[in-house]
Amino acid sequence: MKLKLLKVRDFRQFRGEQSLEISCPRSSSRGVLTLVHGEMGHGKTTLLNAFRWCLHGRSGISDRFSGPAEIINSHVLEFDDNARAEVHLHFEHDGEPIELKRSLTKVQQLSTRKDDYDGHLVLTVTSALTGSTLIHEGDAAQDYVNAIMPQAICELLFFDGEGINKLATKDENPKMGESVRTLLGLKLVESAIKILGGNVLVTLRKDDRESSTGDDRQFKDLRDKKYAELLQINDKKAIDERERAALLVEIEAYAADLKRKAGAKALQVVRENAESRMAEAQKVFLHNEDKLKKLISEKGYVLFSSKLIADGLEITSNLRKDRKIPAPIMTDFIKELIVAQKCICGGSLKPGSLEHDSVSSLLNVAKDAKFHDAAASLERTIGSIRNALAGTRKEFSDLIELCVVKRAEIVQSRLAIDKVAEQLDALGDPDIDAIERNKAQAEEKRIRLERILAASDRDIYILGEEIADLDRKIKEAMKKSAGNSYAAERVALVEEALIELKETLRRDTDSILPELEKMVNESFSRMVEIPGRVRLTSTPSKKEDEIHIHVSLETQIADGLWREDNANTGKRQCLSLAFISSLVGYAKKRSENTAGFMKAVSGDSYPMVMDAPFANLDPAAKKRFAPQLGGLATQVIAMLNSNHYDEEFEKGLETAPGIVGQRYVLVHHYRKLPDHGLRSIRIAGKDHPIMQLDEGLGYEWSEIRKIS
Amino acid sequence: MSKKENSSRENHLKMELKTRLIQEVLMAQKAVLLDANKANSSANVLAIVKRLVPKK
Repeated sequence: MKLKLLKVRDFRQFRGEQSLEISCPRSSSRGVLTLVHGEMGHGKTTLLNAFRWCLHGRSGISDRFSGPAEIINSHVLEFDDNARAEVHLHFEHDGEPIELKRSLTKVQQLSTRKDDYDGHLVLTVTSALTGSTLIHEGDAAQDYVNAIMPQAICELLFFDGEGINKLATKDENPKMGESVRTLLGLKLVESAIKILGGNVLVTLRKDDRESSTGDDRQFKDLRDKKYAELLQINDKKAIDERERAALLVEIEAYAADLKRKAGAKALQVVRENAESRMAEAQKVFLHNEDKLKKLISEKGYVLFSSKLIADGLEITSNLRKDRKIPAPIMTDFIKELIVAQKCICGGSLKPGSLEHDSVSSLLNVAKDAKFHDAAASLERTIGSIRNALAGTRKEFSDLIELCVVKRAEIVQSRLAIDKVAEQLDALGDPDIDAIERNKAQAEEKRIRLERILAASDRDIYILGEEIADLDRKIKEAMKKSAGNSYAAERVALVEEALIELKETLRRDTDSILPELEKMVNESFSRMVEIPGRVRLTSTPSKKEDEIHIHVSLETQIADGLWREDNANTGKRQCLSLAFISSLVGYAKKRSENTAGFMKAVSGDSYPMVMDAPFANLDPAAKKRFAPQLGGLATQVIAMLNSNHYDEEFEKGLETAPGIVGQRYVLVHHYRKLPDHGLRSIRIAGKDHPIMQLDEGLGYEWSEIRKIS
Repeated sequence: MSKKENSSRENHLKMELKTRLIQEVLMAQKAVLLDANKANSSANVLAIVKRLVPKK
């Protein structure tokens, strides 16, 4: 599609008829760029939406455009009963000039029916060969437009720069996947498969059977049966292969996740070890604590009897010192001596004698036998306590020491666990076991699928051989019956074409993402100096005709380890631009380089229309980006305000001489000039007014003014 | 011409025929997308096949 002219009439603030000629380069890169300078409210977004409305009606209008139902200029709408808005778009497609006109009357605008509020569309195409014109209207015209520029692609290529960052999010995936398939001609291949494998094949088979006579008929019936089986297995295999691809992506994602979380895993192992050490120490501690309690209850008195022993020893020692504990003397023996009045030494113990009194006093001392027993018992007790004390004390101190050691181990382990927990908290303490479990389950499923696929391959091979054999038999039988083989040949030709188309579709679908990713990376690194890489990932889908694409930016966090960058709006805008321009470039490259039948259907040249694309880029990035504008597509229309365009930007453009084709300013006509805002803007060293006073008019309007 | 050469030529012709069929069907589908009258695309494709492999 090559844009030539946009003409608007009473479309929003563009009063009357105004036009924008679009630079249409003959040679690549020269005059690729059409620049429209305008301030806020002067009609940049309206111009973008004039393109989109003309192509797709109200549903084509961008989300950020206020009052999408108010198309007709408000002043005209108020004062003219025959008010109508019109947008004409002149372009070329496949070398044929096309004029598209969408018009909307007052009645249509007020209607709530889509058929009405989308207005009336007329498409005039001039044949490149004969020069004759063909006019399509209404739905037919819309179908034609949809075939050239489906709405999903229109939204990608005619975009509002302020919101373009949203493209680099997961939400837009289905739309992007759809656009990619359409742009690259894969939708066309799908429709060819559908039609060939549907009615066409059914009709040809019927013809074939009806033209058969004799032997070949039974071979043909059998062959059809085998072929139906083959198709069934092929379809099942395709589903299994998609499931396997999805599983491989899933496994890869789990592996990448595990790799990313390897640090956390190591910490979790440290934590587990510390926890098991702590549990062991706790077990030993509790066991010894029990032993200690038992020891205290059974022998604790020994430990607390040191004073008792000392006191006891002192008592007995004093008693001995005071001679109150003599050597054991039998009271009866002393009594016998007194009664006999004769001492053992031979002396007399006569009553009243000194000896008698002395021996009698001994009786006083030894008179209580129980005292002797108690003293003896005390000494024995003290002795046994003294003996027990040493052993118990050792046992006690051993237990205490063990408990202290274990308690220290517990504390140490607790500290280690707390420290690791802190680090793990920072990493989100992921459930790595669950990831490992999921990965193992996915692996198991994949292995099961591999077996099923191998069995399918075997069945396909066997059926292929059987079909080939039947084909030979059919041919021979037909030769014999002198019948015509054309019907069977037609069937075989369509079947082979179907196999080739399906294979092409599968191969292209597989190769698109890596090739496109390479281009997006090149484009992105030309635009901005941001270290990182762009990743295009597809979300596996069980539906064959869907690719969900996710565009993301990754930064390297370690050797071979990348993490998705939480890109800011500016980065995401660049990312989206890089993606769109790469897609356009890829479609063009495919249409030029693809060999074989895909050449005719692989993509085309597409223009790009962008409204305020650099709002979130810093001045250096804008300057760097300016010369890249021309390389984004074969035609680029950029609408800029003074935030986007300045001297630095112009300098950037000058580094790519010749890329700027036509330039326009949007001049707003006021009944009373506002107190604020720029009156003029300086473009390429020259001042251009952008506000104008039209006191006599009863309305305000915007004008598209060509400046070069 | 030997049997081998004959078979190789036959295969080559088959390949060419297949590529032509695919090319024409794709172009027809592309044209159908742009066809305001929405012509019967099955009939178109059937006609292509019949033209490429005529009745003998």
